[in-house]
Amino acid sequence: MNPRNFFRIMCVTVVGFLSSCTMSPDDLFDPFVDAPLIKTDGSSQNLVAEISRLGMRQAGEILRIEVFSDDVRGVYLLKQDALQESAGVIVGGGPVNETFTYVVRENSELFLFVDALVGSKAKVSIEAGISSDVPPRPTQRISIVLETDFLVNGLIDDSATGEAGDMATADFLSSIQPIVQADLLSRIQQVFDGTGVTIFGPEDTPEEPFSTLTISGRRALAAEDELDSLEVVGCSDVVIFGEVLSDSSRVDAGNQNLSDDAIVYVGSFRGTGNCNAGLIINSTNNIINALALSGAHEIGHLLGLNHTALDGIMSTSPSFAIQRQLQFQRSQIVLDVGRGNEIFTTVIQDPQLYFDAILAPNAE
Amino acid sequence: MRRACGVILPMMVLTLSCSTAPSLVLPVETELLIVNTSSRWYVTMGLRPDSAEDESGFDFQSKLIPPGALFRERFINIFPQTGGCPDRFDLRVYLYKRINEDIPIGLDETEEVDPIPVASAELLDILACEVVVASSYTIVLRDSQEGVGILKFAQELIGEQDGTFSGNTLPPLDPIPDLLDNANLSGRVIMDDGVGIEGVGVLLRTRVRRGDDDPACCSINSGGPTDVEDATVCCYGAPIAVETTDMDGQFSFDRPPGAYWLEVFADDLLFRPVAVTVESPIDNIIFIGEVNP
Repeated sequence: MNPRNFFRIMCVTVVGFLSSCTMSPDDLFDPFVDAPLIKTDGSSQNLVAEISRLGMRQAGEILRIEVFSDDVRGVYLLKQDALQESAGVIVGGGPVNETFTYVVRENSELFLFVDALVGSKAKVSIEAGISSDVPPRPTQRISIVLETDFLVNGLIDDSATGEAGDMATADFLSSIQPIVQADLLSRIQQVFDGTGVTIFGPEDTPEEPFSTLTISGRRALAAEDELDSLEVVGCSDVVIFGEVLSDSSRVDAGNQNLSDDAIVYVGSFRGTGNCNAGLIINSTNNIINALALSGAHEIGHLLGLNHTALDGIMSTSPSFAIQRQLQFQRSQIVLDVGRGNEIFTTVIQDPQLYFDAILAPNAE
Repeated sequence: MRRACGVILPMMVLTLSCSTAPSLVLPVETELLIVNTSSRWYVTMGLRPDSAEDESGFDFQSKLIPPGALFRERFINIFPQTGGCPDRFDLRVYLYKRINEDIPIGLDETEEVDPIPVASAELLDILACEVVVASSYTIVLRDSQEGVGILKFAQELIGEQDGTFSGNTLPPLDPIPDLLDNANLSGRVIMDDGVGIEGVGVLLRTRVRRGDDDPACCSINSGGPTDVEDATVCCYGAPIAVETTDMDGQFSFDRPPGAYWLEVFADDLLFRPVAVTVESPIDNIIFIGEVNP
């Protein structure tokens, strides 16, 4: 090619490129400005970034969304964050590889965010829905299920049973289990007060559908493939304190499933080695706060909340939180992207705002 | 064909560069945590980003933080212009003492302080999120002699930052900020059948940390004084307040949010536990009593 022609072509290409690729003035890729606009005509489109723009949407508009991928774990709708110009706050979501419906609650620009492993490929299809597609905002009911003797079974080491000290402790724990049960239930109810979530005790029979949180005396060790995303400094056994009992996802994005289940492992608080030993057993309120915090955390996942960077209920670092009563709070989210946990500084989770968006107010 | 390649190739290169440009990363929404572990000094701190164009403007000033109390505020609220935790900041610190030091803090209704600080200083260019990204950026005021202040920064990860100062190098604050608001600090003393026990004494102490040779039990992240024998002596100061349980076994203290040590006492009763460490706000502290055989 003639060098002069090449230069001309390059100039045309560069000018054309600059006019089509609207980068931020500081040359960083700001997805809330620079991300491609997804068409809502039902066509299948490649997702080229974790965050895509859906444009201005009108209150009452209905979107039918499906994201296809083998390695995307959740799909979220964001709107512009009130505090940070280049951040979005989660207002809904849904599962991957299934069509879900999102109703726009207010006039605002919306964005699509996918929780994906590094290098994931995904396609999306979005089309307008019709009003008959849309059920009213649901009420989420949670039933607390308490396994028999969860306190003694969880906090007394089987291998030491029979020793005088442990027998006395077992008797003491048995005697205070009714107090722990009552306060645990009360504390979880207090956390979800005013959120649209109704917590039912073991004596109640909630109307279907409802989710469950089981307080189990069992102890659970982390699986090998989970160790990278857990804080395991100095632990001989790496335990998990609770989990969502689902094969498909650890977080029910958008709370599409109203009858999913989670569990808290009381035995994991007993600890061995350098981790957790005696962490809660020396104080009744430590026991209650630790179990209530873990229970509220797992219920948070059932509702679609992710882990967060700040030390609220959805934090993954509850080491000293048992000495105080944490709350749900606004924070940037933390996701395991396949090479460990990363803070997504542009994606905000504000639980109260999220609950208001996806749940009907408490009626029960 | 060669001409087409000449067009397509640069376009591909540029298209890739468009989608792979460095992504915008915002500051982590870290919170500021000020921990007062002195036994006597009331502290207030003013902050500004060290990049602030107005060199005089310390737009943020904390409330007055009494011994034992914790002050939490998100950097995004402190420095909305930087969007969160700045790389570095400048700090003004003022230490005050109570006028009525001869009576315990919890019995001093106003906790009024002498308007002349016992020490004050401006500390510049303090490392913050340039090197530390944690959920809480912690500044700890340690116990010290009169006229001297000792600060430790960011969980002491920033070893070179000297936070020791002495004398009064700043003009007095006028007015002195209000005392930090009270938070819930309450619970109950009950038998194991849940029935409340009336007339049980409950003592409240604050966490005190003096120097680098204090044991690790004083760490903000520790589970309490379990690591060292007789740790209460070094970690928690003299009682600042005492309450007696009501007929339902309830007790409550009017203190700002903080790290506290509570212990219970009564004739003819044993308790499980005898003492607890808590961080307020908290409303469900429980002591279980049993008759001393």
